[in-house]
Amino acid sequence: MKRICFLLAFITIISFVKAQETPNGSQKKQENIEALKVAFLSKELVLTPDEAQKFWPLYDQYSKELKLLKKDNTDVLERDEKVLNLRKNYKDQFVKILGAQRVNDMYKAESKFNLLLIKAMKKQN
Amino acid sequence: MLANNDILLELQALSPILAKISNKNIFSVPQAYFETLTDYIVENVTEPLIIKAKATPLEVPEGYFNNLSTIILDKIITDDAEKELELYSPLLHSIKHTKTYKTHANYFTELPISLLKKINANTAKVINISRLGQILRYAAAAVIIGAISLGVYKYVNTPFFNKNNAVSYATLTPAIEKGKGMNDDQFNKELNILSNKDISTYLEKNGSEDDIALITLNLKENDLPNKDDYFLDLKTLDNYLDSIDLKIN
Repeated sequence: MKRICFLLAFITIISFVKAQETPNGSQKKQENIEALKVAFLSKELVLTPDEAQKFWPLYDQYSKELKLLKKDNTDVLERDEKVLNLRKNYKDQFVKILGAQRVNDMYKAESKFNLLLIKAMKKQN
Repeated sequence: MLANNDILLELQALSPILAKISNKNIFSVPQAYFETLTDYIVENVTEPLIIKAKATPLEVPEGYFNNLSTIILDKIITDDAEKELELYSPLLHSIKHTKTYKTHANYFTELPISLLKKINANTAKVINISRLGQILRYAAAAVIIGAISLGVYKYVNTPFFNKNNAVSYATLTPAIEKGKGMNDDQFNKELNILSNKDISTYLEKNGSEDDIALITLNLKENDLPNKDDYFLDLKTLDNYLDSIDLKIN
């Protein structure tokens, strides 16, 4: 009986910890939109497997830094300036993988994705 | 021959008597002496040597080594041990054949019976498990095994263990993992199920000022508050922004 109680307690604790790790509904939806963005960029850039292998880890890092910048800065101009600098800093690394023209396309595609989302909103209204 | 004459002259000078003796062989041997010499020597030399080699100065009685160990042991057992024990410890010698351990009469015949009596007296209480109890036990075991299996499956099925992506994308965020493998149908489906609230929250966090401006243009004019509402309630604008879930930093 003691063993069963111990096992049940163990499973409960593990489930609780796991529940803390998994994102809630709102976070899940934000993750879905991020996934849509990745799918959109993949389609726009037409990456080869070799390019994808190099590109996505770098893009992941870039996205994380971009999020932190937008989260921490409340001053609009300061934030925009920092965002621009970050994009410039990453540009050289992206160019090595994709070439200058396609990096330009990538930055355009990011803006296009946001417009696509706004269009989706309009469609719902 | 000159040398021979010189020797003779020298010999005459030294010893005239020897010089007068004619040059004759004075030794003689029997016939076929040297042919039979070796046999003669062997016959006269080996016989006494063989006799000498056979002779030994030491002698043991017959069967001495066969009985030696028995003789030694007999000596030790019969004489020395007894005498030594008596000499060094008279007390031990006196109790040598005394039995120090004793059992009462019929001890070994009664032993199994007494043991069985004691065992029967401490017999554990037997608890019968009902049929329902047995089923519940199996059910509990099945639930626990299922929970553990599901946990292991979930853990193993994470992107880290996905062999196709394990090497290159092990550290990527789940959103990138999901987006990479998405086809057009899945893309459209996911896009269509997004609510305005989800999109506006995303663009607030990740979009530019232009994007936010476009969202505001996207709002329906009918939903906007009337100018009278602003007089009735000072928080009209805040309430409206809350209702569309839009907060401009």
